[in-house]
Amino acid sequence: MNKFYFPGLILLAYSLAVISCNSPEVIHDLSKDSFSLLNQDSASVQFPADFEGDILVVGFIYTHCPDVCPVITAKLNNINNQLENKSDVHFAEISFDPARDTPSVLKNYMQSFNLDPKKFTMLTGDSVTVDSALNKMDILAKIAYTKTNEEGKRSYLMNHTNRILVMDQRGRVRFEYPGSVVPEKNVIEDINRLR
Amino acid sequence: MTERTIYWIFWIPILLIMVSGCSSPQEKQKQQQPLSGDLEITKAWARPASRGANSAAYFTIYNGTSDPDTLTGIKSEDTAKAEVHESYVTEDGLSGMRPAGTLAIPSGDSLLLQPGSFHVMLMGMKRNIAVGDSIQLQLQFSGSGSQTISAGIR
Repeated sequence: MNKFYFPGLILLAYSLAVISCNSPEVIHDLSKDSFSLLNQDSASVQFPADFEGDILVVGFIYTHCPDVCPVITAKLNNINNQLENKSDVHFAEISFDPARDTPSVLKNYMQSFNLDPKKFTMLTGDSVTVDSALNKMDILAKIAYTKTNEEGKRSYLMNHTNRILVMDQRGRVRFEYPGSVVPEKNVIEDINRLR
Repeated sequence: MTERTIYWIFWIPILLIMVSGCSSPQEKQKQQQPLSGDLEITKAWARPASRGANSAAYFTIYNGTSDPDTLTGIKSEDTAKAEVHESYVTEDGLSGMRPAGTLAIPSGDSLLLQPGSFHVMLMGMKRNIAVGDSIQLQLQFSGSGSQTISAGIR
């Protein structure tokens, strides 16, 4: 009997090992978290619960950033355009500068970059809630360069984590990438691994 | 043919090869490409932005003159202010940005302003700029004076 079942057990163990190797680990688990944020239309969004059931690709930006953040936005847009099957994928961009990035500012940003409002959600909120959500995903941002113009108006730049991440259908972060430089095809391959 | 003649016939080609090998590929390229005599600005483009927001412009400057030159300032009627900035990675691994000051371009060299590196930060757009539009930038050089270029939005 042992001789009969032994090859089967080996095959089963091998199959389980292969499956577990192909299944990426959970990096951050937000499945039990709910952050009350606002979208570009000032509507309340529970993050990430409202996206449950979809694969969510998340980028982190601030709209006063002219160089790295637009690259991240362009990457997300390219990924959306290059996906063959978009039905179960949504994109979100969370601002780490909620003081300046109000819903209307995010809406203008979204329109400037021709982001599809059916596939993209821009998120902001009160700074405490935004910071809590960012901390949960290990995203850092801090004011780094402040300038006051002749009229006394203060402007600033931020140092920030440069990242895109992919959450699975249950709000768990499964993949992370260097946001402005990751090849789009790598993200698309990983999205397909979650299906 | 004397022994001395054979000696030089053998060694002269080898010495010539060795001397030419001392030049770096860049030097060879410079030697092959005569200076155009002009400061050339190409591949100019900028990112879309809404009124009041910031944008970034990128281009390549080739200094084809026989003297070094320096990009000292940038103006645009479409923005409240324009400065050359540099994106960089901080010591703690964050993505940051800082003013880059003036940028020198040696004779025969190119300066690339590109995403993730040097760029013109356009602060406070005075109008919406969308894909397909263009903006005018006035670049000031210490040697070559002022040059106005058009950057397409994409």
